[in-house]
Amino acid sequence: MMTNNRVLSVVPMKFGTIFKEKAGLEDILDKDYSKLRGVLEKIRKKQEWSVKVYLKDKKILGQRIKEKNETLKEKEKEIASLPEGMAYFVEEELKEIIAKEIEKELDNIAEILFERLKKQAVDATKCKILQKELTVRREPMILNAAYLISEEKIEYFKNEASTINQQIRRNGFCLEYSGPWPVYNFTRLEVEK
Amino acid sequence: MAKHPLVKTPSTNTISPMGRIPASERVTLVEALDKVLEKGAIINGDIMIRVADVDLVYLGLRLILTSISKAEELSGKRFSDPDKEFTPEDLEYLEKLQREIRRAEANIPKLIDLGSPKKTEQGLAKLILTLVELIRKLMEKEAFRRVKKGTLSPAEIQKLGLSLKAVKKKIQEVQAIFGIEDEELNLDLGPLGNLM
Repeated sequence: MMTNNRVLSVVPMKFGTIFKEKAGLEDILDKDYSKLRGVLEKIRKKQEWSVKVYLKDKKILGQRIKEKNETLKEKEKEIASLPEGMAYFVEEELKEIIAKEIEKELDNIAEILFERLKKQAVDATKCKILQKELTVRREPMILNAAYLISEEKIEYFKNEASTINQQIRRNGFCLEYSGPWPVYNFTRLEVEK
Repeated sequence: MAKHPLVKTPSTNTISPMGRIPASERVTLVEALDKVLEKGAIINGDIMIRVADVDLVYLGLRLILTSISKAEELSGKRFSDPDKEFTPEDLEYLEKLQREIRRAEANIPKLIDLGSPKKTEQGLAKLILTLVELIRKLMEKEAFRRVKKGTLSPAEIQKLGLSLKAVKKKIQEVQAIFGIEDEELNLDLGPLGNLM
């Protein structure tokens, strides 16, 4: 932060923290001095980067699940042999099983990708999945994560993110990274009474 | 952990779930309603109608709401005969349903290709279709239970399956007319979660 041509550090606090009185601020600075120092030490020479993964094509995933699963293949055969009305029930059952498997697989994939990028970071945290109304995108978000990365590792991190994006693209996913962001996700200072 | 009285911090992230909510923890209203039907519910109510502070009519409600599969289980009575044969009327009905399904199936891609959905009336159409879909889903879930129990005749299963499929196709057709996506057929009920 710049004031009167002097460069000052900003004390990291959770976004939206407001002090009602100057006394309260001074109080905190006194009491939690060591905690604040700790946080500042932690984020020194580090940057926060954001990674978001979207599911672009659900069909590819559904197809892969169907091919892997023998019971699902059996059900498909059964459908072909039944009259239409009876087949409907098996079809719907099949759709429901596939939908559940897709959800499970998405949880899995989100976890794997989160952990894989975490290896390049000092700290990492999952953020809230944003709904389509907020992302203004057609495809659903499956991972929203924040990473705290040492400055010298930023290039590694970006390379790794690009590589992952290349790899998951053909399976219908897309990964986007952005940064550096203010380190709000890693400066959670619990303020005690 | 008590918050400092002089500091206002936004609600901590521990309250809202982080990352994806596991599929097993997402419960929708349609599932809750289905559970009520599956298990059955007894509704007890006393209603007094009064005019100008004078009690005029007393209504005592003792209502049992349940799915037929639960009713069969409780009463031991069969509501349908699994050995019943197809009647000529059945066959005619099945054919009619199949024609309806084929017609809707042929119509949907045409409507989509047309690319001019009636966006102006979309809001109302979405609400109505959502409610129709809710009822359809509830019936379909009960139909599944009946089929699994094996108490329905093949003719009944055929009729049920084709009817449910025909309604579904019809809904998809109306969706195409108004340009409504599948996932839009839902309501966010806030703390209750999603409708479906």
